[in-house]
Amino acid sequence: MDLRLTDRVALVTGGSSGLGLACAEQLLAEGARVLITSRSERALEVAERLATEHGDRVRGLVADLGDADACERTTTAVTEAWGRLDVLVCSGGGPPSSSFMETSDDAWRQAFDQVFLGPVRLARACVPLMEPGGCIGLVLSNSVYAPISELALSNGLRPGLAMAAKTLSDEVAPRGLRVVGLVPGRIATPRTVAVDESSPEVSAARNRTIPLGRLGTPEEFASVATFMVSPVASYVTGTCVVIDGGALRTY
Amino acid sequence: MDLGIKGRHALVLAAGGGLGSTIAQTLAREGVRVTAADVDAEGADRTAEAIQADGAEASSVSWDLGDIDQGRSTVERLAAEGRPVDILVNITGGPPPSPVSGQSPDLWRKQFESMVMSVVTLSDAVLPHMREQRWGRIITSTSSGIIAPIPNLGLSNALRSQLVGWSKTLAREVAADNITSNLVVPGRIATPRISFLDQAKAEREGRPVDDVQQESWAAIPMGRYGRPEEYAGAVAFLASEQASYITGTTMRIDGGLIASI
Repeated sequence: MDLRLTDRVALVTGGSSGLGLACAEQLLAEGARVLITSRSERALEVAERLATEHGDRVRGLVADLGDADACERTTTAVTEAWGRLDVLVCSGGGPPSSSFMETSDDAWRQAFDQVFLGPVRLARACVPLMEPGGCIGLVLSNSVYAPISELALSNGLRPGLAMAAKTLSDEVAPRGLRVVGLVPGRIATPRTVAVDESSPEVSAARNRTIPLGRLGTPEEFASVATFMVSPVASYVTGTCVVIDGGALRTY
Repeated sequence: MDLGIKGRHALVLAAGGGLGSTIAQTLAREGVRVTAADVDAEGADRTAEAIQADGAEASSVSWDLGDIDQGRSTVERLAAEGRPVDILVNITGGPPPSPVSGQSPDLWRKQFESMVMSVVTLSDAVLPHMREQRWGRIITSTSSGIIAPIPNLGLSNALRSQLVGWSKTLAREVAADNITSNLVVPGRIATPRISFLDQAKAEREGRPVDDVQQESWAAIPMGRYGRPEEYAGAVAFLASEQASYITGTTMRIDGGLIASI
């Protein structure tokens, strides 16, 4: 199936590892041009590594999504490189784990800047640059639907981002732009694998509750994301796609 | 993207026209061998011939979905002929437009047989082969009415909602055998069925059909009906190897029509 992504321009945040990196790799494999951003210098290293295969179709930029200036640097970098923008895949590390009662005001504010305001600000900056047929894919979490224990920050903030995405989808649909929520369950990213290895018994018990009986691979998540942001999914907007091996218990 | 399903065999219901026909042809372009099923035998034949004309493999079968025994025996016959079903695309015809109140028990039962029981028994019939090979895809097309009831499609709203509980439960039961079960939800896709419903509404309300259609478009954030290919692409993706971690979900292809997340 031709996803019609050849030469389209994609911006992938959190693109130096985990889900973001897997998305960047698949977008490149489908012929897109990709700007990878992340908080650390790893964005540049990963872009350099990917460039050995994909040449000047990939670039890297160090930019922290939680930082308002970095947002402008990011959109400037993408327009200066390729003069257009078709796809935003907004990924990034989740907030730290904590229970509701032990989460301080400062922790909430910090997580809000990172998990909620960062993606909102970037989406707002990208929309005016996007061509009709473009798509914003926001990487969310199962916590949009059901709280995950000890992840009070994610549980509190991600549902708000999902509804902000729905609001944006209504506003930009007449312009031919789409907004899709991408909802991963437990995917074997370096972070998840590290968490599982630090508490093997708890993790094994948790992973047994996944009907498919295993973690998803970053590639499984990324192929769904790539399909959803592609022109082939042109009538999908204002909705969330769940990639969780059946883990979510509710409809 | 290679969907990794070349050579798989799909049974596509209601493939004589509308969404089913487009889905059958989309799967065939990915190298899937397709059996097109429809109560309208000529329609099923036309779809199979169109696929064959493109140089792909296809055949047709015909029975009334309300005839549960014949559905089951058709699946068994396909398996006996060396074409067991790897991908089942459940699509059933819509019931007559009507309110949910005041309908006869006979009508409810008849529609239950063809819209729900048919899907349940056909899916049961394809499971042994899917379990044995530890790979299978069951994709069931429903309606936006399972999330937001559509006025005057009472039977559809009520009966298709039963498939929500069924598909989610099935997903958990068959996951250990690497079989996925998902629902797809069309918004308003430009099919003969939508034209029929627009026409019916125009007549009921004594308005021009263009007027009804404009009003319908205006209610969709994307401002237009979907194209059958846009729906079929998502179904083909759910059938793919890449969709291996998606199960027990409901995927909307609705142009933003449904007003909640």
